[in-house]
Amino acid sequence: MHGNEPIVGLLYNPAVPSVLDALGSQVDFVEVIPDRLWYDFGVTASRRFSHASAAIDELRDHVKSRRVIGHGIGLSLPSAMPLDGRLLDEVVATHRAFNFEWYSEHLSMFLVPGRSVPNAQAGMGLPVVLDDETLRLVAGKVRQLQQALGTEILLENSTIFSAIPEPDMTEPAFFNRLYEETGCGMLLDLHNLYANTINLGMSADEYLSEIDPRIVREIHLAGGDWLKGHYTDSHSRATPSPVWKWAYEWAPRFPNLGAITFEYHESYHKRIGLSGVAQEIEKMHDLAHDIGSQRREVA
Amino acid sequence: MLVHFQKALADLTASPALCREVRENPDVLRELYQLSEKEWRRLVSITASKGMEANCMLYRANRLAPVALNLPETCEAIRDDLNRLISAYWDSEPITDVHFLVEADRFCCFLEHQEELSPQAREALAREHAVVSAKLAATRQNATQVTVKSPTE
Repeated sequence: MHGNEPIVGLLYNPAVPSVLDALGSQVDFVEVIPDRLWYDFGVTASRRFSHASAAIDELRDHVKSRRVIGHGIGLSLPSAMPLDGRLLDEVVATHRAFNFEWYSEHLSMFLVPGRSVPNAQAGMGLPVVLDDETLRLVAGKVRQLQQALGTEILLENSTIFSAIPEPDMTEPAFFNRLYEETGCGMLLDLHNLYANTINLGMSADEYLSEIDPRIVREIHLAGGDWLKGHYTDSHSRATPSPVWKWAYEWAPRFPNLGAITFEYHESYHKRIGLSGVAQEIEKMHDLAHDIGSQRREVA
Repeated sequence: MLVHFQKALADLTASPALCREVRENPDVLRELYQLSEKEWRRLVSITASKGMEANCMLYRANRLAPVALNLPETCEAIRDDLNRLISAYWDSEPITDVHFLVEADRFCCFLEHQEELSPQAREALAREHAVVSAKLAATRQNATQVTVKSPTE
């Protein structure tokens, strides 16, 4: 890895320690979902959080010589409700423990407004209205996160199955404006984009062309499955070839891209296999070298 | 109101029956939620879209996950009746609990009151409920306000 290349890593799950043991320094970083490090008994519980101590210890053992990125799923920034302060406190504490390079959340809704956590969970990421009201809402919470964490905040584009009609702006325009107003960067999930091109008929080139290249700090790669005529971001396979093609074509254009992450779910570890994950890591390093070469030529 | 729009979207995703009702009579949305005309049009359009079917399927799959993960033998034992039973459980407990063990425990309690369970299913349920209860008790015992410690602490 050269200084001007993005780092290469994996989304952490219970199967990843064995991968890290096998691949050693090939994996530059792990991306940790803080919400998977505790059990949450809900806002009304006097003793709300129970930490998964064994999982935390195992993670700690495997990040001694690696960088760590935080990737949250619980704060649900677009939900029309205040941030959950105690949950945010836990995220902050996890950041202090593992020193995240940066922290990301999603541009989708995981909580139902008007109810409290955990009973407010919508059970999946739902699409958001792309308008000024949502932008103000998300921007305000991004600022809160920036202040609380003291680190860079990113937002990820999500897989959706029904785009909300009559948007006031496109999704790339939403990300661009959020960056202009708050400095919040983009975690560009190319596999989510791939799923949206299949399910919604979106044009990847149009989407990627509209993104301000400066805002992309991280790229996610993954593979998915078909479910009754819908393509899902199930993190169940190696990255499909069209996604690699976009990665090679577009990633070198993002001057601030700092990390490339492969995501898979532990329940598919057997299907993908250690060799499959190793191949993904190798291809990601090839991509990172390619980006580094192009950056050196420009410099 | 954005709050009502988001609530309606989540309710629709959780309920194929509500989706069917809205498709037949879109004014139902106005009766249940405070929506602007634009919000109402958006929801009517989404409800009619092909993607709403995927939203509903994934919602059910996600809600099933804690049960399938923690009660595999019970699910196998009630296999032919799982769909009906889980739907009845969700009707009685419409709100998901994000704590997988709490959700699995609640389903166990629901099943225990179902008289038509076979002896084989009841046996699997008793065995797996005991494991879930023990794990849940352990997480409750550890629950604290103490936050994650840094590696140096």
